[in-house]
Amino acid sequence: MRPNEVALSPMVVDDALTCARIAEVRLALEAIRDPELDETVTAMGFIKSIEIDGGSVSVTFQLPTQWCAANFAFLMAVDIKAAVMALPWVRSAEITLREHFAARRINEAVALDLSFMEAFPQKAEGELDGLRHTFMEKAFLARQHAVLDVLPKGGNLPSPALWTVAELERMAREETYLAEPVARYLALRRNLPGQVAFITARGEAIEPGLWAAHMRTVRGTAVTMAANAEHCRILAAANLA
Amino acid sequence: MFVTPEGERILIVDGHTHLWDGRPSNWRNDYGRTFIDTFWGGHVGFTPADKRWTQEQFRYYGAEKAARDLFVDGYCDAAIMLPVDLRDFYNDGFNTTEQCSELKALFPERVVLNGRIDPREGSRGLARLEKDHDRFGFKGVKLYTGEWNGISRGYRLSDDFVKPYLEKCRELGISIVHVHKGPTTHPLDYDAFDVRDVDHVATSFPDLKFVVDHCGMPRIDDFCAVAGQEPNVYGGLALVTSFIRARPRHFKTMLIELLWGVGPDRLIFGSDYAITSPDWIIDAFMAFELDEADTTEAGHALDLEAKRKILGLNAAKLYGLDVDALMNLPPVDLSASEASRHAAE
Repeated sequence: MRPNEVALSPMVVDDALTCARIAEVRLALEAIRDPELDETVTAMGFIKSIEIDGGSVSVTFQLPTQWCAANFAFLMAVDIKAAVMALPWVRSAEITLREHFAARRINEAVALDLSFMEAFPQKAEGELDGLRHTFMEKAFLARQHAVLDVLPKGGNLPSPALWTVAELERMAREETYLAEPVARYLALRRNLPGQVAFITARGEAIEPGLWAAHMRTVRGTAVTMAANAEHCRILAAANLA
Repeated sequence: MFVTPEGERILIVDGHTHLWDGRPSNWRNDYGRTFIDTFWGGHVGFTPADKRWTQEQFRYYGAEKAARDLFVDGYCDAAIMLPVDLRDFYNDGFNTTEQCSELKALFPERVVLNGRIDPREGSRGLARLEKDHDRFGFKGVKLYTGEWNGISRGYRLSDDFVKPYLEKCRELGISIVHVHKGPTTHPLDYDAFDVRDVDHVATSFPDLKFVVDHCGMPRIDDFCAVAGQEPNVYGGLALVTSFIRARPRHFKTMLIELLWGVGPDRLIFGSDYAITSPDWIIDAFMAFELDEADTTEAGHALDLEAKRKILGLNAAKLYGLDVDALMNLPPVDLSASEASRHAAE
């Protein structure tokens, strides 16, 4: 089985409704990201099974190693549960992280809707909002790099530093190869103020003299996140070997 | 030593090696199994198929095989050993100074044996560092901020209890501190891989040198920001260089970032032995080239001079190793030690 294929238990695929609901759950999970990598849990092959029993849904997921960070694992478990519970027909959702050093505690806590500090009372000093925010900023920069990397350059085109969001949107409608990276970037850009297309992760405009340094920053973040994701894929594949 | 087709002799120092015991007999609990199995995943994932070991061999290989893999087959003139205790997972420890000293005993002139510290051990740990230093004479120590210790799941270098340890290192003349981040750190909400606490101690202890293992991977961007500001911060390339065959494109982009952010004078090759072995990495690295556009991006050429620095000269300078003496040592001959082992058996 390829790592990104979900195992379907033969017991549960006995009717068309169940099949359709599994597909719905899977679609919902396609929106859940590993915050550290800015890749979805489905694309990374983390989802190992989806089972349906009426309005009860069980999702099992596994990370590339037993020693992946507990905080990111917790965030993914919480997000998976929220995505499943948001489906109108779901009454309960059981999320199981398996093969992980903190699996038991995380699974119990997510079942009881505990916060991270409640889950690890002696071992955490704060909730994970700050961590999530830091990695959202990194994802923003990496997605910006993905756009800048494929934008046409040279000729009579103005420097990307001068582009507006509207111009970027127009260009993405005209050039199909830009559609996906631009959509991914603007999904995070929309939360920030102003009309300039390319800004810092804090929402600030980039002064012309600092454009080159900004390019370095976005590139460094993009390289780092891409290599991390690749590292995870390598370890996940080795785990199956 | 590596010799190029043109006959250039290149000093090789493996800056990141271990001698561990990950056998089931040494597991204190199931974490012992999962920890070595995670390393095994790294071995399988990065090592070329024809170079892979068996899992049993990987769990325990012994000093002779290490000497062969490093000094006979692996081009290394010297190896730097980075111990870690992990006594919460392993009865006798995983890769302790004591265990590593077996390789040092076989080839004292080729092996640099570092100590280990855990700043959470208070005055008892300081006394142990003094005792270990008396016995082995360390130039450097390794610390592992994610190491479990009782109920603690790790710490940060900015924690108050770290300072007395760095002061003790200074007092003993131990000037090099290897910093290994992740994977779990107290508090668990904190990003365990965050390297920004290195900035704090590097500024407070400008006379110490801090080698960040794995170049802070998975936080290379943050590592470059810290190392770019702090001249006493070095990048240990273990794991980064392991990408060279499995994912050469990612290796190239990471190397460009590191050359730009840190420069060729503060990057130190390491195989992470025995997660993998140096031979195939060195072959690939010597053959690796950056084109003109990449070189512009990197701000430095990856020429023979830069390769010499990264593969050996930087580590030799950091540790005060005599390059000429190392390159003129007689070749390693394992037959004597193998014969004595067979006789003993």
